[in-house]
Amino acid sequence: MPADVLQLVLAGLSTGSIYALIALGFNIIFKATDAINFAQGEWVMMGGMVAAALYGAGKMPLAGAFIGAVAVVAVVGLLSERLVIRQLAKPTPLVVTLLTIGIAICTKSLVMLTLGKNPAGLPGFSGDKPIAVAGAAVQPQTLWIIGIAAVVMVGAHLFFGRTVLGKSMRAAAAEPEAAALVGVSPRMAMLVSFGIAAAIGAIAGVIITPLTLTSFDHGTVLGFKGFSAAMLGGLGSLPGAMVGGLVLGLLESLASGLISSAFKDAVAFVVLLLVLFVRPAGLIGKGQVERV
Amino acid sequence: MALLEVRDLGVRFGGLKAVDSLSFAVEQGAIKGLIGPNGAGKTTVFNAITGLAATATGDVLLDGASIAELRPFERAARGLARTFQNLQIFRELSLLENVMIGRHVRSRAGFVASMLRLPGTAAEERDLEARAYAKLALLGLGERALEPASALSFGEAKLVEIARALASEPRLLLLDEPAAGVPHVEQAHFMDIIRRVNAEGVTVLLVEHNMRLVMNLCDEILVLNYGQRLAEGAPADVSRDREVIMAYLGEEPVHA
Amino acid sequence: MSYAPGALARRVARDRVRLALVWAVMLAWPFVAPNEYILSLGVMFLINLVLVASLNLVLGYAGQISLCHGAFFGLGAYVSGVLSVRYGITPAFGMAAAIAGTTVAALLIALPTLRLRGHYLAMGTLGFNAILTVLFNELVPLTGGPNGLAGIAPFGLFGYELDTPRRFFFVAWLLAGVVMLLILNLVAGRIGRGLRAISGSEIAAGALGIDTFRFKVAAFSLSAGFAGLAGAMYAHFNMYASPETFSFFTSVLLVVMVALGGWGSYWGPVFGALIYTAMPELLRKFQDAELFLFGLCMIVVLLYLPGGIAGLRARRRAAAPAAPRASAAKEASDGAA
Repeated sequence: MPADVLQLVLAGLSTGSIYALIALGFNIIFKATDAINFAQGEWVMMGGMVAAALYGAGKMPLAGAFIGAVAVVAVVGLLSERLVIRQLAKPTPLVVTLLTIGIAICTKSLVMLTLGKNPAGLPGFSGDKPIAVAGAAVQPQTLWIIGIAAVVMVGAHLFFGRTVLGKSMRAAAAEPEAAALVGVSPRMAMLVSFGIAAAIGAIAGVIITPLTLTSFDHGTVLGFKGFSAAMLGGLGSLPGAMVGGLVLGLLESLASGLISSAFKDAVAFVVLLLVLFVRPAGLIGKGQVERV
Repeated sequence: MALLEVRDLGVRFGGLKAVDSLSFAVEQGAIKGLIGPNGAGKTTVFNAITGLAATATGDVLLDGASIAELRPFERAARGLARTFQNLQIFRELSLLENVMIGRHVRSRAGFVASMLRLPGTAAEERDLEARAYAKLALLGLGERALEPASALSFGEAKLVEIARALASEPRLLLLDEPAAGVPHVEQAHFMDIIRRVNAEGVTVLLVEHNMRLVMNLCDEILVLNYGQRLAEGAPADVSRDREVIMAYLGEEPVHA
Repeated sequence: MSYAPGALARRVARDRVRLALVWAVMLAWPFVAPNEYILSLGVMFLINLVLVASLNLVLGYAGQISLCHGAFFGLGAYVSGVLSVRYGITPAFGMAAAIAGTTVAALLIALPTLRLRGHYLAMGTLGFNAILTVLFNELVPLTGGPNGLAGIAPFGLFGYELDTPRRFFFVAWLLAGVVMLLILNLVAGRIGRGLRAISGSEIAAGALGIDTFRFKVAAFSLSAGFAGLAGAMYAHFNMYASPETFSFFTSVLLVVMVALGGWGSYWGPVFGALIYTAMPELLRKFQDAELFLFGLCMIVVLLYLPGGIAGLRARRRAAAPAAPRASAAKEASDGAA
């Protein structure tokens, strides 16, 4: 493969990995609430911003800033569920979706108020000097992104598929009443879902920041693209998140490199629309699609 | 002359045959009952007739013309009306508005005509309101016309559905368990209404579990079991049919 | 609530009278407003009312989630604006073109999208909004790109330019009044009931003879046409248009305004438009905290006012008599959310 195409592919895989993580967060919340979580992108942004703040101000080591940021954002996710979503008498998907919009607005503005409007950055995890991979010059952070994202995806798969907590969360999401009868608390499951989705979002935010910088308004578009990836893979399907994310990342990178970078942002939306009209269940999803 | 004819109807859900090679007819002006144990496929037959069973095979003819390719709203325009077993009432609307919507196929005002209040729309509205009220009154709910449908009990909502179905002045009325939830005292009144409606020329096909109602109201009964015809005929004959009794009670009849 | 013949027709007549009264009173605004800025807020209120009321048709009455209303607003503004700036077309024709253009665009979008339901529909419309935003930003020779389109001609009447808030107010008053009247006629009759039937139970609506798909497409396109009108009004009033105003954030905000005002209610959009116009002004003194406070208010209203502001009146009215009625009305207003 010629070096410049390889470069595009690797770039696509790394942004794709980020989209995959964001899509994963969307899917976790979707399975728990049937709603679209508009705050997901803001959690990603917050992860990067908080990590940058911890690293820059507190003279914390990078790893400490990473973990600290994820913890903070996870708490924000938990609070969002407890203080807002939990208050709903009748949590219909539409109202929950609208509430997440409110949460997104509050989160974004809170970050702006506390951490300022300026972009923030982090150093690459193993330095910023490009390394050579099969003739292409690649940022080491790109490999970190792909690697960490892969670990998280495998971890999520194992968690939901093998552990008791993960399985009871799936049960609670599918049949809350039945789950409650066997001692699984749907409320707890909801709470944990929010916490995990926020944590995953934060991880994505931290690992992308060395490459792209971040700022308080960075989250919205990212969230939207992550959502496109989730739809592409199939809303609610955890492996779909991975497939959708990587495919979208690759499409975007190749389109931008080979055609034109001006309409790069449009790729995600065009993909979204194609999915909706051609195959709403997504590439992998078996979800029920309501057609009239 | 058969108003409704069902020929070789089949409906599958995945691997399950809910309705299997069913053929029957409903004569013009008749009241026909469709009975059978739970799960026999009665509502599925209704869904197939009204166009809500996507996987139906076979043919459905109304007045000799096939309607199998028509979508539900097109079948309604041909004179078909139905009520729903599990209620599909418009909860946010008042009783009166529910019934007025029933008259959709008998009214004309479209988007442009409504917006611009073209001549005739106001008169049509008044007429709609009056006729809808008359149907509600027929079913004894006239006084509560302006209440939201969400305020009704299950049985009352069923009556509103019937009024709504009647509002379109259908040729064929399909009633899916119309008496379920209706208090015992009201059932005689209810039977009276069906007879009156039938006397005015509406053919009725009804699914019911209430045997007394079915025996008293229907001219003819079709018994379904496992999606297939088990027996068909006059109420007296069907009620003595050994197979029918076994299907319902699961054992041989004690007396002849 | 016992019934007397013709009660529904009388209710509609009462609403008509209310509309006429409200509009008559509103005519006093230019004389009552303390300064030109506040006067111009009145104009913006009228434009926003057209926006929120038209979205209410699709969202509140037909129960379809549309997240691209902001884009239709923008399309109307840009069609009329571009025709004015690049081709010198008079605003009146530009406005007509804007309405036609948005209606056609909506029809094209509606045909594939309205077969979807729920989330899929919402995200499809949001996708379109995002694409249109990209177009507004990237087609620089036409739209001026992110810097916006400047130099849009103001409305003119027989050579008399309506380029101040005071003069334009009457145009806005007239246009918005016509729109509100058309919407009232629509929702008070057969079509309005049909739309509400679709949102109540699409199955039953179909079984009763309503071609639900055609209805939804028609409502969607009509609502877009109104949004296009609002866009043209905006363009010729501000004499400037920029892509930021028409982003999916605006679309989302408009949905929230419909909810806040009370969806499916005819008067709800008045409250929604009031909030939409007044809130930035009220929150401005909090400067950076403005957005946060808005998010907070939105959450509070969504949690504790499910029927929106218009729903408050309905709940108080119904809460008065015996207990069963009260719980039924609460169910009704919960269901409205």
